[in-house]
Amino acid sequence: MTETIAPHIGDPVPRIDGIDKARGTQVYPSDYHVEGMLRVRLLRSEYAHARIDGIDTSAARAAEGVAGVFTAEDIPGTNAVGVVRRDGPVLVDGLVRCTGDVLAIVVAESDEQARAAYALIDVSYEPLPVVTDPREAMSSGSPRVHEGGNVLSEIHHSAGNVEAAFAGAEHVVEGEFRTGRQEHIPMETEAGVAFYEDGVLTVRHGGQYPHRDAQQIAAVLGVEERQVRVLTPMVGGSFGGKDDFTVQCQLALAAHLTKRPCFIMLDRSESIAATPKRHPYFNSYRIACDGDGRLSAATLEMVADTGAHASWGELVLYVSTETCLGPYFIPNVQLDAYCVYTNNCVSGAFRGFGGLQGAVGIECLMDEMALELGIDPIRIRRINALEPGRIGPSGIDFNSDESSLQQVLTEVENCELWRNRTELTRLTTDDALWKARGVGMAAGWMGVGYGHGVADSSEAVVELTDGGTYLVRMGGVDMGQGNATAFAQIAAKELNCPVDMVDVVVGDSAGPDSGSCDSVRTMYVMAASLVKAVKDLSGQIRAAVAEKLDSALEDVAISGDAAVEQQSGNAVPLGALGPRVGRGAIRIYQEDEGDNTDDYDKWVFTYAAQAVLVEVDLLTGRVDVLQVFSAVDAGKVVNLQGFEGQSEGGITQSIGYTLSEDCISVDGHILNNGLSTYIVPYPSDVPDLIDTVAVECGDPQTPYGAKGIAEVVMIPTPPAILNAVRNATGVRFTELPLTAERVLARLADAPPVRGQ
Amino acid sequence: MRLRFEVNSAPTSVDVDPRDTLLSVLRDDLGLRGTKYGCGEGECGSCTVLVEGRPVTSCLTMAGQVNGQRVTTIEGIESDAVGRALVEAFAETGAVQCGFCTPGFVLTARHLLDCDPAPDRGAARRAVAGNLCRCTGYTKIIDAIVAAAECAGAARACPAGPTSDRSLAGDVFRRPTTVEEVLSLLAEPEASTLVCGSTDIGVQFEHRLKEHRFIDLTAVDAMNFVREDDDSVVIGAATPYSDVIASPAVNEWCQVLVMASREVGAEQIQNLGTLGGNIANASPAADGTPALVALGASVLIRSVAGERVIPVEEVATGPGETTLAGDELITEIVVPKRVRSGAKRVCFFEKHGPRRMQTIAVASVTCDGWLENGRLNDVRIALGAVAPTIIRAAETEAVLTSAPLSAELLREAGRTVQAECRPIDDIRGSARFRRQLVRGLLIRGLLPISRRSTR
Ligand SMILES: Cc1cc2nc3c(=O)[nH]c(=O)nc-3n(C[C@H](O)[C@H](O)[C@H](O)COP(=O)(O)OP(=O)(O)OC[C@H]3O[C@@H](n4cnc5c(N)ncnc54)[C@H](O)[C@@H]3O)c2cc1C
Ligand code: FES
Ligand code: FES
Repeated sequence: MTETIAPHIGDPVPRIDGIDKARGTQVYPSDYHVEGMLRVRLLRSEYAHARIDGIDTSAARAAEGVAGVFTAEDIPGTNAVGVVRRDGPVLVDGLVRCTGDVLAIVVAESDEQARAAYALIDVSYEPLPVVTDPREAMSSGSPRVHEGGNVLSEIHHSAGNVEAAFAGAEHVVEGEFRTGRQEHIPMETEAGVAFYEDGVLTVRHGGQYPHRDAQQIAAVLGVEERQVRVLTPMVGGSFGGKDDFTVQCQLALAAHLTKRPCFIMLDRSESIAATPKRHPYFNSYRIACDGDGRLSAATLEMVADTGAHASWGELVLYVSTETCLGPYFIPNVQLDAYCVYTNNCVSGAFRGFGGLQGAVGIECLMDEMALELGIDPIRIRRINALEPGRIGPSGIDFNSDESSLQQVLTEVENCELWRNRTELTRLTTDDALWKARGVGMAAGWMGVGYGHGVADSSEAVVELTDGGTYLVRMGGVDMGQGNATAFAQIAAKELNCPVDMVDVVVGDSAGPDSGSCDSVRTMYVMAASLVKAVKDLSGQIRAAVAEKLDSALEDVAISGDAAVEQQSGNAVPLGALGPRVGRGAIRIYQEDEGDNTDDYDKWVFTYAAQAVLVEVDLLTGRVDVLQVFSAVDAGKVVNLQGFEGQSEGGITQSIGYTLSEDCISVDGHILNNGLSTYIVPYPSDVPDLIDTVAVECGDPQTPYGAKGIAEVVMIPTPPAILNAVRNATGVRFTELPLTAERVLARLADAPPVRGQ
Repeated sequence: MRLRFEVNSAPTSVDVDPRDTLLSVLRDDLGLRGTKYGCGEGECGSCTVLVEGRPVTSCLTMAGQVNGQRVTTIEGIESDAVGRALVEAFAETGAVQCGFCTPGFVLTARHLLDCDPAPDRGAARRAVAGNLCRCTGYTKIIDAIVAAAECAGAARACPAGPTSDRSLAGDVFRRPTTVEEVLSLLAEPEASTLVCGSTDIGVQFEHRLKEHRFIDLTAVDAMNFVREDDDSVVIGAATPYSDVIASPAVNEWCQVLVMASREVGAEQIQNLGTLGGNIANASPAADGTPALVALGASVLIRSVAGERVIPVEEVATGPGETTLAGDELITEIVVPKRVRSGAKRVCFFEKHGPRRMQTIAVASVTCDGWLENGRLNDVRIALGAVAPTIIRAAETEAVLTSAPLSAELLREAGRTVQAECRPIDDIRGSARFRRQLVRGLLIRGLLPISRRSTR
């Protein structure tokens, strides 16, 4: 037997890029430096809705150091981009729809000169009425954001007889839930450089899908696609925010029109004010059950604010509707969901992709129902758990092989935090004067990959180099989630070599197209294509060695830097085999070729459940999360360290979403556009104890059975916190974020100095 | 202008505008791009570097402010075993995801290990309270710091040593070394702006620093001290919070100032910010100033024409507005030693901001006084962020000293303090919320005192 050299799948593997990042040598998009590069600044609109009568750039163009000022008329190609539909202008042509819309690009020798010139641009606006509430935007009298009407997409589903079911129900609970406009705050703001090299415009920036970028940039510039190369090397965080058109088109235009290297990096204030957000939702729920707690009916009206341009809106809404009634069986349902344009900042992709907004209401109401019935919140979830083979609550054909919901619930039921909740929430008499504690739980689920019926594909390439090492080429950008490490680990495992024998190059539009790095596709789709590529390469290597040694293919195994003939022990160093290339591709729901080319025939879901301990300061309204227990179905953990890191990081973002994060928006202007007013969790704001346990309910279709967990880990946190605060204070809060101000407004009537 | 300073132990000379931020000089002029931009406002810690071994935010510091000094960036962190242990621990424990925040965390942690070679998890978390990471959720960062401490040696990031000439003379940025020089520069006809830690200036003038002429106070040693006199503790107006916090005299006589100073921003801001800046900046949400008001402190204000001493609360007249003339300088703060025999000194600083640390007050209540036989005496209360300036709550003080502490007295004090403040609505909080907060914070601070008095 050949010795196993590669680390086992599931071992903690330090990330391959960790050391360079820790010593500050990693080159990020904002660090890339090209000699003589110009600085780019974008002029955005002063109004959220306005007609532009003219833009006078003459003074700016004449200013010192200015290399160019460009407006819509300077665009050589098409002035429209977008991730799903191309409905957003690169530069405004006549009509402004939100304050983030870009009117002009200013390019100058120095950043100071660019800023100075930018102030000299004279725009004549004709302000138009603004609509900022998506519910109002749906009415006929509302100002129109887009010609075709303000409803971008709608989804309706009815099952059974809802009216009759409500009439006959033993218990009914209802609530109106609202969620906030969360900003990603990637630590590196949107940035990049663009420059011509041998007639090809190279754009190195912090994006998530180089192939899509290259295609659309080429269209904007009116050049052939092969004349544009997009590189998205290690990115300083994204969480979905950079899976969009942020600065890359304007940056490319600047370099194309000046024929000089150009650099852009957004100020934090601009990044907060203008880049896509998580969709705010307005959800009205009503659910009914029988005397045993079995759900009988639900109605839900859901309105999502997609802002001024479509971005990912319709897909986000679609994903919300998949899961918004929970992983429960409900026979009678009326669901009406709308994704609506407003003059607000664009909403786009954000880790969780519609899953968070839909989970809050149903998980809070499950707790209300349990309280009403006097039963345990875990029990009510168990008895309603959706069994495989049934139709999901919003009409999806739930043909998953198994559901791990019961398993994650069992983990929560058995965790110390849940079992000891009475002791943990007990306070001393002195503390009880002004504090209250509560434990709450919630469940969550999420589809892996784009979801049912959405076409998806990925390609991967693995090369054996002249030097006898391996090089993995993938589209899958590493924004910090550790893709590169996971790819190296998978290749090492399949090629039976140490991880450091594998180099990984990600994010190059000239390389294989692995799709966008979103929707937790990394393990589901990308890794699958990589496994195919690696198998292809290992087959080639073994065949070559078998031929060389005149033995059978089955007798040759790869071991580290050589291929070995098992019987004789004869080895051929890989370096002697010359360069070879393995390729792999995976396709899902490719319409043009019919369903039979699907690599996956099942629809994969993953589940999570959490319990949290909170403390509420009754005198100030502050809510602190003291402990979190999280159980998540990872399918199979590929890298324990990465798994825990995704869980801890995701839960922390979700704590921020629940307690503090929201863009305060007035007439389409985001007022809190700095880190002192847009409040993300800092080290003192999150618990030291975030305990994550993996349930491994492997999906037989994916490599090693792994499922993506980066999104689902975030989903139970908001309702779990709301449920814990309910248990601590007796008040049901339904609006996110749950700021101290909102808490105190409702607690004000309660006597803060109790007893004494 | 040519600046000379040491970067990672190498003498460095660079020709830049001294008002350029240290961040931009390091990245763009010296090519040290391990130092990152994350906000430009001192909030996120990505741009942290060590100056004389202490973490500071290089986005707020002007390059001229480190002339003649020693700067350590992430590129120099591995020059000793402690730094190497940190880098390795961050990489090995999973403390790095996108890694953009990592250099800032590593440098901040490096200083912690100078001060506390064996920090527990709580100490590690407090030390990095001014560093934002959006990816990891912090658990593994704390793991890394604690793990590094276990295998690190005892070398210091920046051994104490003689500094070279820090002064700078020029047109737009002057760095004098004596109070007299400062006063004569202030007397020049063309207006200049004083700058010390630049933690307010750097934010207010972000991208506009070059529209101003500066007189930098960070090299005036005669304004950076704590001195104990017979009846007062005197603090130089240019003394950073970290030194105020570390001073035994301040700890003995001005405990509430220590409490408040610990809650100003976090480590980096405490290494830069000063009480002189806090008072002169005249923010109603300041934290150092109300502590000084509660302590009954005065400021010594000097100009070439002479000097005057006024109570701290008389400096500010409104948000950003003061009684300071253009040529005046706050040189020191005089905190009287308050004594009262037979009584127990009680004090608290209660602040509510949207975050636990690195946060601007939405309201604060500072109290200093004595407890004698269950009764408060000689109590001074200052309120932050609930009026155009920091205000004394005289009526609340009167209520609290009118009778022995009781639940009823606390309730009455709560009602009084709500009536006494004059808050406004802004994006940090509504007037209503601030009123509720000021009552809640007062009661929160008084509860433990009241409990002690009744037992
Ligand atoms: C991230 C961050 C967090 C912060 N958190 C807090 C907080 O929690 N609490 C808080 O109170 N503040 C906070 N601040 C504000 C700031 O740190 C403090 O106000 C600090 O005390 C200012 O001191 P400085 O030396 O940096 O002032 P500078 O910015 O240098 O100067 C401030 C003003 O004072 C003037 N000035 C400075 N020194 C003198 C002097 N000796 N005589 C006359 N005028 C002078 C300057 O001309 C300027 O107008 C924070 C700032 C940042 C960036
Ligand atoms: S860049 Fe954020 S603190 Fe300096
Ligand atoms: S690792 Fe990405 S911000 Fe900290």
